Amino acid sequence: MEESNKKYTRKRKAEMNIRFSEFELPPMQDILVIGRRAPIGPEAVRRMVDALAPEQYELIEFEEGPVEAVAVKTSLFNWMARDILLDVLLEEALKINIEKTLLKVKLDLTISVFKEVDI
Amino acid sequence: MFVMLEIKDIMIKPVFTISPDKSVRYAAEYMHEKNIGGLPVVEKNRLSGIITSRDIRLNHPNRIVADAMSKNVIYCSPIDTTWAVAELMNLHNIERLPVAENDKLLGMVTKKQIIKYISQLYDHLTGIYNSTFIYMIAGKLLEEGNELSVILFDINDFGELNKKYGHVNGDNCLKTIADILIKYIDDNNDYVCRYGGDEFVFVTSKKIRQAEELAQKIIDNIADCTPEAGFPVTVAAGISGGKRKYSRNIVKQKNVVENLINKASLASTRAKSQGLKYLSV
Repeated sequence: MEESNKKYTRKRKAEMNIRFSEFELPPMQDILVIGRRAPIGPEAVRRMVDALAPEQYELIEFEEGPVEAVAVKTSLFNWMARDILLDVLLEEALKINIEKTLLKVKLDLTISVFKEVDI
Repeated sequence: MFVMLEIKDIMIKPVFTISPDKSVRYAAEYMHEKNIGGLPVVEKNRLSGIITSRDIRLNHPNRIVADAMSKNVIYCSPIDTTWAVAELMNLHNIERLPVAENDKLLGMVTKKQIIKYISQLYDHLTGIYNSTFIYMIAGKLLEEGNELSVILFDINDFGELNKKYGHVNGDNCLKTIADILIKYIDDNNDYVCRYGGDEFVFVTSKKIRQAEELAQKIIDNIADCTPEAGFPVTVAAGISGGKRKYSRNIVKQKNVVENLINKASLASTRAKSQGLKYLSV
């Protein structure tokens, strides 16, 4: 009886670890590859980038195949011909089971030049 | 009676629609709630697509409707005829068709409605078309620029046959004659209907001379076959047409068709009274 009257003390604590970082606008990087049965389709992506990063991305749609569209940061086309970039991108994307997913692609482009000159 | 209903007369309105920025999940729930199999997608008052239960099945529920809908919408005009729309739905195997004018959605029409309307074009006793259909198809043939010949077959002494063999056998006689007439239909040129009572109308885009040859064959065949069926009858025919030029004016078409059928009817009566098999006018 005396035991049951004993007052229990409980301590509940939560640990918080907060990290701040800049939100990426839009939440995608250089390229977004959209699978044909992905949870987000090209029109949704178009609306998102038009709202968050107008004129910065180009949406290229494909009629057939597991890739329905790609959204490419337009500035990349200043560095590399459009066809070459798309060919390389699709070749690699198709190696992955892409149809039901969206791939966020970060592209590091380095141009190296080697020149030999007479001295 | 000349009936060629336009889609605006039977379309469903107002229409349940959906905005393209809604999710596929929302569209599925909305369609389930309204118990419908497809929704026109409308953005800024314009028809921009259609989403069906098939699109719902094939697309991720998180997608927006704009990414799941069919963008190339097949639609009809409110002034299209039910006949033209039936053909359109059949061609594209469509169950629900939006009705729109200048991309503005006005209503919807379903295959069920069209079938209901089409079924009203059949004669329930003989299974062939009725007069409503024949007026409609004759108008269409005229509109397409065809010559038109009309043969009206009238059973001789059908009242006597009913008295002698009874009305059930009278009905069987009508069915037998309908079956004989069907045998002579050239799918590309001819249409036949039970016009009413003991009268059958054959509409053909053949010239009048060919229509006469056809009538002769049919009359002889009926005389040969009906005794075998147990109720010997003969028919007389009146033939008209083959000379009239088409008209795109629906009122004129109506007049032309009515006039041709009336002339054929009078000619069959004269053929009967003169003891002829047929008479052309």
